[in-house]
Amino acid sequence: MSHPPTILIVGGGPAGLSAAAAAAEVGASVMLCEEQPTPGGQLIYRAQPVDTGSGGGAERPEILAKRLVEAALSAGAVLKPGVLVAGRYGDGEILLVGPGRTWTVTPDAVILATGSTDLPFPFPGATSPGVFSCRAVKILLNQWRVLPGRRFAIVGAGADAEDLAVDILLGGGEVVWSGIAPPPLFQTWGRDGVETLSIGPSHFEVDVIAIAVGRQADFALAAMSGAKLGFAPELGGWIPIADDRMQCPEQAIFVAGDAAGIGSVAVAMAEGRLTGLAAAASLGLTGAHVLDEAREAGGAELVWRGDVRRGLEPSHVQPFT
Amino acid sequence: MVEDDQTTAHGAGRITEHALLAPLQTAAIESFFFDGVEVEGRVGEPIAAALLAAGQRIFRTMPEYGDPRGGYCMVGRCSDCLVVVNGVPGVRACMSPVTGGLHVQTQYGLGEFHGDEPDWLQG
Repeated sequence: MSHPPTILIVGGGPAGLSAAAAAAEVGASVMLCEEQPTPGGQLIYRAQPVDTGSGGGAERPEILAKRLVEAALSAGAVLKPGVLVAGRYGDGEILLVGPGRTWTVTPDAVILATGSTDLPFPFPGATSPGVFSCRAVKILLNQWRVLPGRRFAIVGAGADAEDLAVDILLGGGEVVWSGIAPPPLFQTWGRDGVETLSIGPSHFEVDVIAIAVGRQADFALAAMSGAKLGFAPELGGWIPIADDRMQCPEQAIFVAGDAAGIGSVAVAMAEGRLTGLAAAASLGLTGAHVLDEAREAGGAELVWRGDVRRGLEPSHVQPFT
Repeated sequence: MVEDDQTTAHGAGRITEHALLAPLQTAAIESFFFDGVEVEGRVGEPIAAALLAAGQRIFRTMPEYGDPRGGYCMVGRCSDCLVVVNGVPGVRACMSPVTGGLHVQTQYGLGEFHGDEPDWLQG
């Protein structure tokens, strides 16, 4: 080869950054695009320490983000923050949108580490100013140190909702109500935004309503590229169907992290590493034994995710038919 | 911990102490304008964050019935936070940074374009 094979990584969170370091370390020419101006994904707006699964105790999220960025850069990956991957078209051509310019690239392989989006929860008044997604409240509290109000209601009862409650308390807010009920039981009123929330016969005075009913893989690019989706409730719902090499069959695309199924930061890093090596292996840069090692070192959550994926059938309805 | 003298009617404000997070890198505080009123913001933070910290919750109104919207997703996907910046409508307040002297306005409906015409529209 006159030049090393090229790998484009979409998304600069824990999975994407880990994939970038792993692929670059074995000789791929790696470019990572992250639509936000600061790479780090969910780590950028996380307050609570992260268990990285390496047995060394919990790490502060901003330290972990820096460490992952430095590892990718020193392995030789090129990081492009503020660049959005807008689509993948025929012949694998990819449209990039950056500040003041658009351009296309056609890499030899693509890793989709696009993370997740927060699930909606429509109810009367849910469009009022003062209603935010869970992630939005974390961004305000943790990334920008802004309290959008003092009294919070959290809609949702899972891990995201519990995490958010702690973040609100750490930020100096108050959790007035948290829980889950069928959407028609909720109503909110206010003049310039949220002032009260009723759930059935109960009324609460609140300033902010956070919708924390869970998150879902961001599968848009995968589906656009022809990957089939399956429904896996254990992994947050719709996910692209991928094989043991994190590859979507018949497509030269790989998926890792929340984009491959909702999971922990630790598994996003492990899966990112596995996927980076797998993409590199598909281009002849490394061998199957290295993938086996990465899979074994990835931990129980990684293995379990593979088990869930193996049992998935494509659903009858697909977004792009 | 929030500075009490800086909170608004619904308790919005800035967090000055945090048990887990290191203090923000100090950025210059600059004034910009929202509907002609001076608002303080930290250079580089999103306009949406500065507005919410100042207690401003309405950023735009919807075209058909005029119902109000403020931020929702804070990641540039939902379009609830669109504002007019220096005469240009459709600007995502959650993705656009504060700079000193910016003129930000409520976007009513789709807004009207009063900025400089981009080069690629001419000729």
